[in-house]
Amino acid sequence: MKKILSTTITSLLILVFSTSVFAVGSGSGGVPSDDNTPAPKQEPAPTPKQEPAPKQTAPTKSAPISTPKPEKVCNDIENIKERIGCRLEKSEEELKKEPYMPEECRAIADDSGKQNCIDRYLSLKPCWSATQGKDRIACVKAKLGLPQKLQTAKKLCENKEANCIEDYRQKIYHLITFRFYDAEERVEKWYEEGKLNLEVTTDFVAFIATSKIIFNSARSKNERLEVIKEVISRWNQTVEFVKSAKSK
Amino acid sequence: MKKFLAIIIVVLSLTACTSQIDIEDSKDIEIPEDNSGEYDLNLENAILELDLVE
Repeated sequence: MKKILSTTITSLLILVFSTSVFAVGSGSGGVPSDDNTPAPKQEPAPTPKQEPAPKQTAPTKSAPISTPKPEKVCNDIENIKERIGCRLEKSEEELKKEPYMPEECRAIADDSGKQNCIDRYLSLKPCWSATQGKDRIACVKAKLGLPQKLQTAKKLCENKEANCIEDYRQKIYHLITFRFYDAEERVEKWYEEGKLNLEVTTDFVAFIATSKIIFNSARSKNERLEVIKEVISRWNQTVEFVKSAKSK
Repeated sequence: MKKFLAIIIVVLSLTACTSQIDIEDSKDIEIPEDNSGEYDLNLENAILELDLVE
């Protein structure tokens, strides 16, 4: 009986040990999702699956999709694409006369949330003068109050207040939507350089604005992940288009 | 004796689960440095950043 007992214990110990070794070896690619809810399709136009309309022959800034009167306030336009197109056609000086209202903030219903959003945008403004890439992201992290070396929420918030995880999560979301914003700004720069026309640029900027709103209202990791993937896909399409136009 | 064996099995199983959870928790996600090329948006890093908090 003792023999049976010792054999059983030995077998179980081997089993336990081998399970642990397997756990170390698996998974360098991140924590698996605990949420398998399918991501909803993006309803507001344009969807990321739309082509960036790369049909232009010669990129030009003079292909208006709407013709706003000079005195028109872009913020008063209801349609998001028309509103963005209106802003793109205005000079920086003209835009200064309009109330500052990023599309992401415009979508927030409550006034304090809206104001917090505007304040965040304003606080991140200096980061645009930093070199794109690591310097700009380092600036954003600093402004958002994030550590330069990011950690998992669980590790970062060990022995900290209860709201630490939620606070960290929101800051990370802001960092991610800033990355979307970065895409928008680069595309606008290509527009100013004549590499993209107004229609393509408006579509892209509206797509990014919509993506930020959908990302903020997402309720699961999968939904957020889906938005990021769609932005990646749309960005890659646009980059390919700009590169091909450049090589012509 | 059966009771004793059952207790050992339960204890060892729990130990196995706990050690696995500990290993999972101790893993960290290394986010690569952002590239600064004109076309580098580094959105793959956004996916990793999302992993940190979800």
